[in-house]
Amino acid sequence: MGKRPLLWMFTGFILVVFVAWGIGFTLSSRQVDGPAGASQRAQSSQSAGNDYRGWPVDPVVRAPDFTLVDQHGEEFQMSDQVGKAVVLFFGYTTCPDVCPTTLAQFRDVKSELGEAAEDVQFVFVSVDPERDTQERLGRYMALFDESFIGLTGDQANLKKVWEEYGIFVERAEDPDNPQSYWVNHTSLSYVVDPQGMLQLVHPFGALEEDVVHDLLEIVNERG
Amino acid sequence: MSTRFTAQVVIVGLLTLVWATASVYSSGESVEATGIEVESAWARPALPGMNTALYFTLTNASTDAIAIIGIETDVAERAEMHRTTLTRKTDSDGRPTQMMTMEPVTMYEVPAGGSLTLKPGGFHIMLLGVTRDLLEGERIEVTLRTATGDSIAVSAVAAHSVEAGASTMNDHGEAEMHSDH
Repeated sequence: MGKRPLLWMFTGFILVVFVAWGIGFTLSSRQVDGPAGASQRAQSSQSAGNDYRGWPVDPVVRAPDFTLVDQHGEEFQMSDQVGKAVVLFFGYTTCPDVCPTTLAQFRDVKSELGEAAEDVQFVFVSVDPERDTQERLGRYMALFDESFIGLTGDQANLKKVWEEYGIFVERAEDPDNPQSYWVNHTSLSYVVDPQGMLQLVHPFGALEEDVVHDLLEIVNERG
Repeated sequence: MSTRFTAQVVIVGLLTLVWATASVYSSGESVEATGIEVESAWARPALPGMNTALYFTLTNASTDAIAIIGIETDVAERAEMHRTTLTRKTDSDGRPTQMMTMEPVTMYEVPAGGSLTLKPGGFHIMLLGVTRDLLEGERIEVTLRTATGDSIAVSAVAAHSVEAGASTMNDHGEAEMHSDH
């Protein structure tokens, strides 16, 4: 071997390059994800004999009543919805990520529910009355499903509703644009049964199949 | 010429050949040249004046981390890099709740040999003040700027979910990267 050290060195070099290249290739499949586990499984619960996959409201309470105006200018009163399950989400039309993701999931859930969808009303309540006019809510809801109800009102009326449902609403200025702002808010969906009782909530990121499961349970057992 | 010498020449020759061949094959698309690939690019449908978010997965096959520091697009008045954070907390009645907060970020880093996924409830590119109808199935062109002055072209599709986006997209979405510094 001592006779041709250069050739051996070259062979060794090629081998080292080979191994390094192989390691690099293996490492390239490593994954670094964004911060949120967008598909966290909703916690399951066995309380009160139900097997909801969302978070149960314990104890169950009557859904606080309110009257607001929808995107078509018609009054919507919560207590008039008896006989139908209501899914309430609080958001704003300028919200680019969590709100449209939730409404898109409602749309998919509605289609999965099939005929049972007739017994469920999806409702979006504004946390940004300053910008969410009826007209704007109308265009926004239509992007997802014409049957979804978008509610707005004056600041004082809405604030009362947020408080009664325990909704956090927090305005955050946009550092890059003084004319604009974000609204940080509670990202739960509230499920009210056909008797008007607030039974459970689904966190953002709940699996579609879990939401469908719980809504079927709500309309079949309590309809 | 000794047998051992011939064997060495053959080994070196074969190894070099295999390496060269493998390199040529793996540099097929845009991956090896610049080391970055964009997959599953989609954005939710929106109408003029509205905001929407753009999502995709960036894979960095190079040996250097890549920092995305800016976005250019003609489908919105402005584009910003954002992050949504979801926090578990308790409401005023002591019930568990979940709060969504959104904040701008100054860059997205894609580690060497790693990937970064922009997805609902996490990192996303916010398109503010959409300038035209972005209805389901329409294309959205965006250019990402890196800290080293490279640009990465992203062609996304307007869809209601990553799955819906993937079904209207040609194989892996489209990504091109070119250097203009």
